[in-house]
Amino acid sequence: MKVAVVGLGKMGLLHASNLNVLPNVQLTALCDKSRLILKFSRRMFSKVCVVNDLEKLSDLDLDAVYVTTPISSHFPIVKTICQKGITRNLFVEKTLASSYEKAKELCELAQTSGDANMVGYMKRFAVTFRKAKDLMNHEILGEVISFGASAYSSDFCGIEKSSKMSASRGGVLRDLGSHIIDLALWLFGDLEVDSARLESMTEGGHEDSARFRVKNSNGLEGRFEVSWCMNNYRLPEFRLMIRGSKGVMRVDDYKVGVELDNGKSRSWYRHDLNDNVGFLLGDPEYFREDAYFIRSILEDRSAEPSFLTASKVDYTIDQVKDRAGKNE
Amino acid sequence: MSNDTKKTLLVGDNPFHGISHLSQERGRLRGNAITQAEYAAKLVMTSVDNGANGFMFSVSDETLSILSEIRERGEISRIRLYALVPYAYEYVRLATQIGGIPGLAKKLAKQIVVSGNVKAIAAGLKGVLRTDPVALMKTYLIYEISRIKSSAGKQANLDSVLLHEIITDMALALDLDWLLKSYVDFISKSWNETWL
Repeated sequence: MKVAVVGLGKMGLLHASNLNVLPNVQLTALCDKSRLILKFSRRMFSKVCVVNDLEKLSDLDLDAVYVTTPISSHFPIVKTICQKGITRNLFVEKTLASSYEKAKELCELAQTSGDANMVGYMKRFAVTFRKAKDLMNHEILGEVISFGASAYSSDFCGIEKSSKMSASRGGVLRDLGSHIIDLALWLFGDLEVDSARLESMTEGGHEDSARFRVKNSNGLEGRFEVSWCMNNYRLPEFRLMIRGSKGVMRVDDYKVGVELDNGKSRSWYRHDLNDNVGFLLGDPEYFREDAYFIRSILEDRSAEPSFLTASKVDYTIDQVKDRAGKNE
Repeated sequence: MSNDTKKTLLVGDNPFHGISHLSQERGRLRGNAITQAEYAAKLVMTSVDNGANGFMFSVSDETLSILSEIRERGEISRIRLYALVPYAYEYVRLATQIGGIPGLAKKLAKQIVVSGNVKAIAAGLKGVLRTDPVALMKTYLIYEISRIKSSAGKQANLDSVLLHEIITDMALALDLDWLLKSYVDFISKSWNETWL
């Protein structure tokens, strides 16, 4: 399979590395518009075609393209790839687009012009969250009543007020919060935002922390807290506490714990859950995610989270911003 | 790099960065005292008193302060140093905050120029003018080694400078044989020139 990666930031390099070690995959092309990156990439990657223009990928007969550029550029890039028929299989790093409206348009485009499509919500491939999903599928907690969800990092802790980088990353909801929103949608199904509060600590008007409440038609209630200005979170951390009619489950990147009302309890650490992968770069979930997408293409199956599934995260984020605006 | 066959017991620097590989929460629960240079230096030397003879560390402001502290205590020659570059976490965090890889490259270039290290500046200039990634890697290594030297002093035994696994794994995955080869060449040459 011939694969290209568009966007040579850290996520682009990570996916390119994972892809190049997968059997049946040949990293064929890299695309970036930064002159500095292009200049050095051409010297560094002698076996790969390095281009500065998407249209130059058209002649390469690509089986799949990974889009790992900043969120604001996903829409025009994916649109061009679909319209020019550069490939039929597309992977886009989260979030799919910078708004639900744009995400919806990309879903329609992908449906008519492509085969497999997927968005990089890699936490679904983390062993602890997979275990939580499995336990939920077996209804171990009975009827789910409520949940609390958090996503914290120290990425912008102590950052100067004049920083514009938080804005260029799409704000904390898209950059960090999107993962925990996706996990909640995956575990609980569709959710509607009830109330929301956003806080901005840097220039540019994008949010640096968010608190919001959600509910569904069955009476399930949830509460989210998202911030990238927390102290002592050197790596992003995602956590869920789920309360059901039979007990409570707590899950994060390291552990799943269940405490049932009948007194039984059990914990699983990630080490217990076969967290090994064929090639480890960053976290194991990235390799699992890439291997799964490639396997989906080879086996002619749809991949999840698809564009359509992922667009629900964009919908929820738009809802949060809308409710927060009304609260103001 | 050492030819000495004596067994080495290393103290690692993870706790001094607040890291626990069991969980982040466990790392946070340790509190901030362990991240203070004076405290960390005491801990390293207590380990040396109890049989350890090496200190392995990612090159960062925090670990360089620990080396300075040990040097000021007059105990730097009692331990062997194993440096790890780059301090991947800090560079990823910086890239996030200052504009991705191009932003990071600019900041690093500025730091190298400000450091006044003539050898590093010359190699860097050559790397930029000739679009030569090998020259840039050498620049970076010269810069990091000079930071260790200025913190640890002349009495220090720098036994090794290792590449972080993120770089080696990425180099292997992306067939960047030239990077690994030129790294080995540079380190071997520097060792022969006795960098410390």
